[in-house]
Amino acid sequence: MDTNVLIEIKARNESDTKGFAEESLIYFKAGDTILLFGDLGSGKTYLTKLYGQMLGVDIDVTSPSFSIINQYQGDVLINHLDFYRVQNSNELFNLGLDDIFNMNSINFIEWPQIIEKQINWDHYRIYIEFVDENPSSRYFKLISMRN
Amino acid sequence: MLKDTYILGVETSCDETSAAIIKDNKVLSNVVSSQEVHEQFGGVVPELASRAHIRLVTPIIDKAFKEAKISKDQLTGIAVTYGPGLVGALLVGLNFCKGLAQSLNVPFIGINHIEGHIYGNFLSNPEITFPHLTLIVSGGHTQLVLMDKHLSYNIIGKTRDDAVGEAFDKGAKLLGLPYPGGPMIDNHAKEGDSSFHKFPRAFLKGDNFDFSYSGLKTSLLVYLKDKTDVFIKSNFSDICASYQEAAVDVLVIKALNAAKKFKVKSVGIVGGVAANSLLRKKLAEEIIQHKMDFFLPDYQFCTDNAAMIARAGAERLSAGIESGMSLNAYPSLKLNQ
Repeated sequence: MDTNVLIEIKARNESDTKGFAEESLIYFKAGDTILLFGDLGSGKTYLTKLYGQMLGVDIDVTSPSFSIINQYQGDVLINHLDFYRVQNSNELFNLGLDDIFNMNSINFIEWPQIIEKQINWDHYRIYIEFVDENPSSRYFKLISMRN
Repeated sequence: MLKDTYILGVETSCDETSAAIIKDNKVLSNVVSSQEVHEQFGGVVPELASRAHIRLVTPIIDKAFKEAKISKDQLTGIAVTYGPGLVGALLVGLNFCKGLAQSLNVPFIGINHIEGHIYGNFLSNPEITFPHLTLIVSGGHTQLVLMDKHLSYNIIGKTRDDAVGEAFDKGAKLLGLPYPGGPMIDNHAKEGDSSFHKFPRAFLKGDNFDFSYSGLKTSLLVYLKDKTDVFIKSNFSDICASYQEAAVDVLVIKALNAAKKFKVKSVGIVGGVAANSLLRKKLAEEIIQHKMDFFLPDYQFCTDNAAMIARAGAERLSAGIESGMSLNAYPSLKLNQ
């Protein structure tokens, strides 16, 4: 797949992070899937919460680590998934979670490592990394993956 | 008051496939898949097996009848979880129960999983008095629910990001324990000094009973960053105790403040984190000191199980409430929906 870096920034504070969320959201439309990569505590859920607010979701976007999927109706349908505690991608198909790719929704997926190889169609990836000197600073990178 | 009711409860909302039969407030059987699979596989529970509801639902319901020593025609009703949870998982239990209710011609009722947890406490403590405040704490939920009477729920506080059980499980992971390791933090903390490090308590601005736990997890991450493995290892119990106390303090203070504000007669804790020893001890002390009653469910009704679903179903059916055969599964069902 062709990878294309669309945005790469160092966010020093919450307001920079919001800036990244706003700038990246411009690329997403109904039907898109965004894989979120980043260690525990890097802010994947927080970023999705910002997207939710910007897309008109009027309730709190909370962590889907336990529930595996949370769904929100904003200006567009949002599926927020988290495969942290899923060990085998077969489980996702058993549970019917592959349906989300045909819902015309925007799908944000945390801990997508177990399915990243199976997503062989156009999608986006966001990488979040810690910046050593400051606990609230992060590197954000938005990449488009195209066939 | 429940009288001569025999209710089958079925729960397939998440990881567990479970079936139970209760007679009024008495549990005749309560079969839970992880225990069954555990026996089958001799210690190791494969995640996939534990979530294979379709394969497990029939044998588990059969086993529930066998252990209860009643026949299917003795049932007076069927209760099943219809949300919140994974839609594919919920539909297994829901469709099975619809079919069974139709073939036996008995009333059928859909139950909210969280309502089930609250009624798990009534199974252990039928004498619970109203107004009653329940603190629901698990891997996926952190809520304060006020009840003025049976089947009436007012959610007065909930988490805005992570559930407290997730703060425990992910905190354990950051400390190098296997996931989910919440109960292990509790064990290590018993030998530790909670004043070793002050982790932040998130009380949020304004007059509310909401919770936030993602900051606590991040504060542990930041704290551990510049610590050596030797330091972490030699102060492990103290770090666990400090972290656990930060998580529990907020629960205790918020629950106590809510109990006082709404002048409740009794307070209960339900959900998997209700097994946490510090939470049980601290909240019980505060509630009893303020002259309210404190109720805890038996351990088997803390984690996901079908007896609690049957008990909530008994309450609804006795109040004349039934579900129609068109009832669907609702992945994000709210308690007062």
